[in-house]
Amino acid sequence: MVVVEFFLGYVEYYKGALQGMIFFTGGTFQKDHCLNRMNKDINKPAGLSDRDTELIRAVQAGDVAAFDELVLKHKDKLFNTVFWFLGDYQEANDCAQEIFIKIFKSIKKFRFESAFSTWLYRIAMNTCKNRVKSSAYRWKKKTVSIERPESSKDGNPFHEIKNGSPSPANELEKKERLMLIQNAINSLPEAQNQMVVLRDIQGLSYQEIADVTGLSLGTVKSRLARGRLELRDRLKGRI
Amino acid sequence: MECALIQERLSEYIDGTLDADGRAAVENHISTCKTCKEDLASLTEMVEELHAMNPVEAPADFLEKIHERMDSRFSLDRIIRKLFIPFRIKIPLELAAAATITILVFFVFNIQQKEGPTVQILSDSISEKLAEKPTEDRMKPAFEKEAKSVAPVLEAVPTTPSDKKQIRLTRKSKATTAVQPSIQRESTPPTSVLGKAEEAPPVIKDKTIDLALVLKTGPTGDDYRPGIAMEPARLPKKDEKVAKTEIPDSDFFEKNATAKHKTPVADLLPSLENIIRRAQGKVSFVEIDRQTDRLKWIDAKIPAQSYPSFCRELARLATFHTPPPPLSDKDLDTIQVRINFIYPH
Repeated sequence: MVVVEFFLGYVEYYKGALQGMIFFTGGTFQKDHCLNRMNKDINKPAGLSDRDTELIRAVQAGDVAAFDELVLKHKDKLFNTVFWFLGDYQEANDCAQEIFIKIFKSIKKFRFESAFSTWLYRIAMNTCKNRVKSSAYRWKKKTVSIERPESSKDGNPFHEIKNGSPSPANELEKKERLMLIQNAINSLPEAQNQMVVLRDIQGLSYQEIADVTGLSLGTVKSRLARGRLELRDRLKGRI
Repeated sequence: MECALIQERLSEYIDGTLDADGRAAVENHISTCKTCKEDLASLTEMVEELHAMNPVEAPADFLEKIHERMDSRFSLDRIIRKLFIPFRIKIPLELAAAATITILVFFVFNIQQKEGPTVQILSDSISEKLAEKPTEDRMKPAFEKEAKSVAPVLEAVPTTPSDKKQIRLTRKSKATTAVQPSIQRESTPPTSVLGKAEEAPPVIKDKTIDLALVLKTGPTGDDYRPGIAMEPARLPKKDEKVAKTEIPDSDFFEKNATAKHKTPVADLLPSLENIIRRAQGKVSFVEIDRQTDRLKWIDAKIPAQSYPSFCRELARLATFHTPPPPLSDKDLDTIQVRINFIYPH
């Protein structure tokens, strides 16, 4: 039995030959066990890396260190998405933390039927939508837009951006441009905002966006097209 | 029209996800349409700009903050889970809480209600208690000790000839006066029970009318008669001695007493209750001296119109120490009276 298990770890791509070997050498229990493992590998969704699988299993078993690793691996990607969706750094920080806590609480519900990132984005989008709908967020957005200067350090992630340009004026112009884009994206309708952020900011494919949002491919394409045109028009007006 | 269709496909064209036919249609159109060509250019520029932006990174203490939130939240969650999630704990706990609240509400409600019937219950129990007391305790030959006459509290007491004799016996004299036990009046009680009323201040609305009754107790046996509205005996001082000669002999009572029953203090409360009830009133409070087991006062509410007859009935029972004040306010519906009891020693 140990020999068979050893083989499986190293020759996973030679599943057909392996099936035969197990049939000749092992009993039915070992055969079924190995076959189940192989089937799982065959059905593993694209995007779900082995490392992610291991980490998720460990977290499901209660390993907090594995959760930490998972967070460190995906935090920047998630944070970027949430920031561009919400348009506020502090809100994004708070929301992203909340998302990971939700992940930790519901990790046992993850059945490896999709990529971990897909599941992560799905939870992220739902959490962000709920936050946007909350009255506290809407009130804050109203007051912040009046009170807080855009050049302040807090809430402005572009404050420290250095784009390598030797000219301070150029640097300032870049920062202002980023702020402009941020405001323009944030001002889009929620559905279009989501598409633009997932596609043009995060780089997800149409299929991945469809998996995350649960929308059809056609809806994703049409919403993205409208969102891009709208964003362009808003940016054009501000130049 | 064609421009609108082409505009919708520009996004996919930029992403390279159009099929061959779609790509060809867009390219054919933009080769002839300047507007769509400019739109494609601006759109492409914007998308490339978005793709080129640096991602916004999470703060350095991001993981630490997550753990802080998890620790605080999960400890509370753990407690709540322990208390409420397991049904074997949750359900009994909820039942216990519901039962406690019910008991508390019932208890509070009960206390509030008790204040009403308390007096009635109290007076009933007191009546029973007093009735159980041995006769000897109740009957005190107080009149044996009383020696002096008192100023008449009630004047203009109409008397019948049959009463005159008794009254004479109790007429005050400076030398000696025997305090006679109260004798049942056969005639109708005088209306001038309220005779000296002019001296008493009239009752005003919302004030309790204080009435003071001097209780007279006689010896045990049938001789004792309830008090009537006669000249009351003067209240003797504590150390005052009563001459032996002043004490009437027991035969006197046998000869002259018309009532057959005695009225010890134990019977006083039921009698008072009856009087109050007949006046269509209600006892509201009874105060008893625990040490001596004597009535101190009774508070009652009676209709204002029953006040005169109420006073007359009280006068039959005992003697007023001071005349009951009249009611000046005719508009009163109900009045509060307090009957104080004075026990001569």
